[in-house]
Amino acid sequence: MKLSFLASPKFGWIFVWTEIVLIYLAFLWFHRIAQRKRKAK
Amino acid sequence: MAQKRELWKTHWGMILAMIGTEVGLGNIWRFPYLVGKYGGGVFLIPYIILLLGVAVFAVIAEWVLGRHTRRDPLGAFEKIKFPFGRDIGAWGVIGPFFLFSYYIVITGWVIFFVIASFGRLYFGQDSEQFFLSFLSSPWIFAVHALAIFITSSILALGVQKGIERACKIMIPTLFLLLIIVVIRSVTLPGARLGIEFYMRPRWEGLLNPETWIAALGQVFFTLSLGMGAMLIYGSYLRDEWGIPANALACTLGNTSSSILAGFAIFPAAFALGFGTLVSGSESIGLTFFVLPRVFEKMPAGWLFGGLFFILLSFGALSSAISIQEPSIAWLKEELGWKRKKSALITGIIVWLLGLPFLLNGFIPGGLGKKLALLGKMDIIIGQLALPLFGLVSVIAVGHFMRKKGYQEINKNAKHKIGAWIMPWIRWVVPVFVLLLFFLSLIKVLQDLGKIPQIIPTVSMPEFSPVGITASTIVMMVTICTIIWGGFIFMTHRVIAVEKEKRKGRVG
Repeated sequence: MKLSFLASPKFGWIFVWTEIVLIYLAFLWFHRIAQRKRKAK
Repeated sequence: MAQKRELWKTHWGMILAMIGTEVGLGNIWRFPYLVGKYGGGVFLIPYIILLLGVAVFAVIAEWVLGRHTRRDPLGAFEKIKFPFGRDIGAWGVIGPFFLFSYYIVITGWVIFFVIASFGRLYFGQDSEQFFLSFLSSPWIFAVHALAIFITSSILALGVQKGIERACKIMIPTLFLLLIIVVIRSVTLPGARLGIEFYMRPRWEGLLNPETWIAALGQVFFTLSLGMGAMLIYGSYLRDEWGIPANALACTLGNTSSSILAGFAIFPAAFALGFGTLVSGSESIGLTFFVLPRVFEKMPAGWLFGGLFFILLSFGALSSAISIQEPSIAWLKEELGWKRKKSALITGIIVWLLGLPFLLNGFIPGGLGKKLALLGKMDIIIGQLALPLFGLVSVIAVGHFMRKKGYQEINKNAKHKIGAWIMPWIRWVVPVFVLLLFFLSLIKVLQDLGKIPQIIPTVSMPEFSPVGITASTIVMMVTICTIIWGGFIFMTHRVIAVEKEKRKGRVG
């Protein structure tokens, strides 16, 4: 893979979408754990 | 686990915090450009129609959802039992957080330009080259971290001691500085041309569909709708404050700052020979390429440039704290964390999320390449995700709160609104927000070259021969009415509260 790929628009879109989806899923997972802990209390 | 929920301390503090949320970079760098481009003063007609007919109701809806549930955005959607409330409400926390991750980068640039103006760093240099070299300098890391440090510190202090106190300082100072810069701008020889460009009505602008589309986009974004900010700030409203009149007062306060910003920019630009350049520049170009050239040429430009960027940074910071707050509220309320810890952790995460945008600036090339990531994130979050969340918030109040929503709107309100408001929020406002979403989507696809040009671009003719005196009078009356109306409302409110207190004492 050429280093210039990192500066390409395609990589930009992949990066931004991946970041958004991963953080959203991580957030939901985190929230679910918090709710479980709260219910357990 | 449950911590005592904070509320706004004073009515005046709440109004300023709400105006702080609404007044941001868009007011200063986008609104004047749109007015100048789409028909001068006549742009105010679609703008005010959509503001008072649609956007104010969306503000009311978000405040109602917040105050009724007294929860963070995620908790609010869960509490009203909205379908998929958790997954959708999560966007009210995560969406603003992504927005915050790049908005704070731009706030950092503005802070840098305060330093650059007072230090005359851009004087005698090519402004575009200066900005590009700034994007690939160590400065970018310093100002980014500084901006996050400021917002996180304010939020760590809490709603009353942090947000409210900061806005009580920042927002009146913003207006004061704006008035100082306006006075300097309009008193420059040749400023008349700028005022004429800005305010002279070109009635044909009303027939241009782009004018209405631009006005719809501007009213929606300038009021920070769909960002979770209004919802979370609404959840700190006291029960004794009526929602409709306060929502209107904040909206008008926001509009007056936008209108004033044009009087700060255009007269100076035209007087100093940058009229054509300014009238053709939007957003980043106007603020960081063109305005430095204007200030460079202005007598004592370093001072007025510095003051202008201070007021711009106050606008940006007061908006930034409101979009960081939903995530802090979520950590506090759902995870039971302390506010200070929540502010620290969100600050660190957002700093990490901002790093790719900063590193992008080191890629050789023009502005398009250096801001590629930031632009893409803005397309997904700012232009598409936020209108959708705004739509969901309005639907939540209109369709899922119904009677409770109506009662909440008029709870303790001195000026009560009739039952017509619920069908209006249920059917009319969502249609406009949905329209905005589709128009944003079409524009994004058009800009990316995925679809052919659908929205027609009507080129505006040159100045039509309408008397400048008449047009200036019309526009000045509009501005004075807005400012006067806001002040009268606030004074009336203060007097009413005083009377109530006195009655209470006598009773």
